[in-house]
Amino acid sequence: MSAPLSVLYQEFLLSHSTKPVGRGPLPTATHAATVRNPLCGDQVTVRLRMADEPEASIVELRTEGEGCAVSLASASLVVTSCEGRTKEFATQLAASVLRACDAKQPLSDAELFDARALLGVREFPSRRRCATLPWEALLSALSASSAPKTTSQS
Amino acid sequence: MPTEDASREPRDSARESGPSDEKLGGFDVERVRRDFPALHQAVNGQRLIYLDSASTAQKPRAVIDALLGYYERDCANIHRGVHTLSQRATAAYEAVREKVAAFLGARSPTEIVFTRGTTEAINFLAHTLGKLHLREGDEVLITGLEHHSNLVPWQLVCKERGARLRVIPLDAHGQPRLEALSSEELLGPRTRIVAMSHAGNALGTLLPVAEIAARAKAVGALVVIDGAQAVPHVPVDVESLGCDFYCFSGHKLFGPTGVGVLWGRKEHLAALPPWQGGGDMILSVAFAHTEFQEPPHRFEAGTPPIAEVIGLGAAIDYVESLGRSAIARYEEQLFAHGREALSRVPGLRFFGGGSRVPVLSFAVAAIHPHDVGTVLDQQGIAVRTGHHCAEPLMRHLGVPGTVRASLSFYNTTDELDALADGLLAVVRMFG
Repeated sequence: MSAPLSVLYQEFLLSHSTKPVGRGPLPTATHAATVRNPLCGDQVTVRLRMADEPEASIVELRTEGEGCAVSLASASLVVTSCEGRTKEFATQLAASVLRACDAKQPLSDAELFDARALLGVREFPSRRRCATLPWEALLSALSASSAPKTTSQS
Repeated sequence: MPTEDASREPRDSARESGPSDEKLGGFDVERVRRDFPALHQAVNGQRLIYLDSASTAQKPRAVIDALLGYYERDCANIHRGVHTLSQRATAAYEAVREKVAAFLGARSPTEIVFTRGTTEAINFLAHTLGKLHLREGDEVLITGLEHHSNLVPWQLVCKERGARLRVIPLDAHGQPRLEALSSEELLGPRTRIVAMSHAGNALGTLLPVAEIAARAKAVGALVVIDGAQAVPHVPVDVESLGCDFYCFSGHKLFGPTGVGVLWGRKEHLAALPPWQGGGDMILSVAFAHTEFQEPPHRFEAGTPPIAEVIGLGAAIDYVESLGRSAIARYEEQLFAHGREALSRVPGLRFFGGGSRVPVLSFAVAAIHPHDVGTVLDQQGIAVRTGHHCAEPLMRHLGVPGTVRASLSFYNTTDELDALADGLLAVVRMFG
């Protein structure tokens, strides 16, 4: 295996893709968004239930959708990183992940926690959106009004 | 053309006589490969194995030289100047029109319109035929395996004209179910236009276009064939296909990007209104009224892709020099070898069946096509992964996408063995 390949498909990421956390529906969702990658046709839906203000924390978080190893792992990392955290934390982390996956941007020292495992896509520009799609869906869900709503972005 | 019928495939004898590609149908592939500069490079530290010719084919030196020749010697606009360079460029450009007419079996070069590609040709037809023939309640019939480029333009024009877009459903192998033409009343007096691929891009399926065309003509429908995937592999004779319009792209036929061909029967082209207005398509212009040129020039507004048309001419010459039947024979054996080589990959499942151009479309267990594609690319192997701009077909197959290895006459059996090895590495990694 080439070096960039073993970084992209590192064991930690593969373990998240084979046993993704938090996959499934969430009938009690207060926020939801679906984002689609027109390049491959994959789509990711993020649903979450937000506690009432003032805490504004994400009580439950679930993802659904088809995807490659990178996007399945990334969706799993959205759940493990953001469930039980505040909206502010999740918004900031998602923005940091989107920036960090873009090889055209210098790598900042923003804390990514487990989502660090996604940085292998910096060597594979054609795979960047596989990693970012679930985080885009998370951001979209968080910015949606409180009624469960599905938006689609290309 | 390859078929499912294993008894007809000479793969065993080809294997027993050794992997030497020279022996495959007497086709000297090593000599042919020397004509394609881009094939001789390393990618990610490995020798390039290019198996994505259905996306775009590599270009022989003769095509590259033709482009250079135009820009270095004959660079001038056409149909405009009395000066020598313009005359040279015009002669070279118009000579390709004659070449293309002969290549497609057309009656006259005036039936050949140059476009930017197949997509533009279909959009042109959807726009002009739609204006001329589609009324509320009329129908346009396509098949379930169409590339988005032979679907979306018809969808748009149907919506605009209040017409209905209907679709011939597919069977489990991705072949159109012709019995549905009558059982589901897909083809009838309301059908104005039947538009279909000659060969599907995602699975390589060769459609029974002559049969469908005959049935379409019987109800008075016009027949449009998208030949983008067929022209590089099978000889085409538009008269015997019985269609009214046929189009293809230069870049899939080893020519430059940015040029395509639309063939249309003289009487149909003559009836079509202008599409784009501009220079070169007019006879006389006044503020009150414009007199338009006769076809094909009526449909070539503005400066056309002159260099690209000349390059396309060189590509056709190149293909003819190899011989279209020799190409088809070699590719059939290559395809059979590929099927056999890939069948040793555990969990590999082929899509498509029946008569095909040399396309191997498959899934490897439950491994996502994108992951397969990335791991193969690291081994220098270029394949296409995803929905291949044919999302309705992918939904029919029940997969998000496939891995597609599309072959050409410059590929070798060794390369297909390397693809199989590459896939074994994929299985080891994700299996």
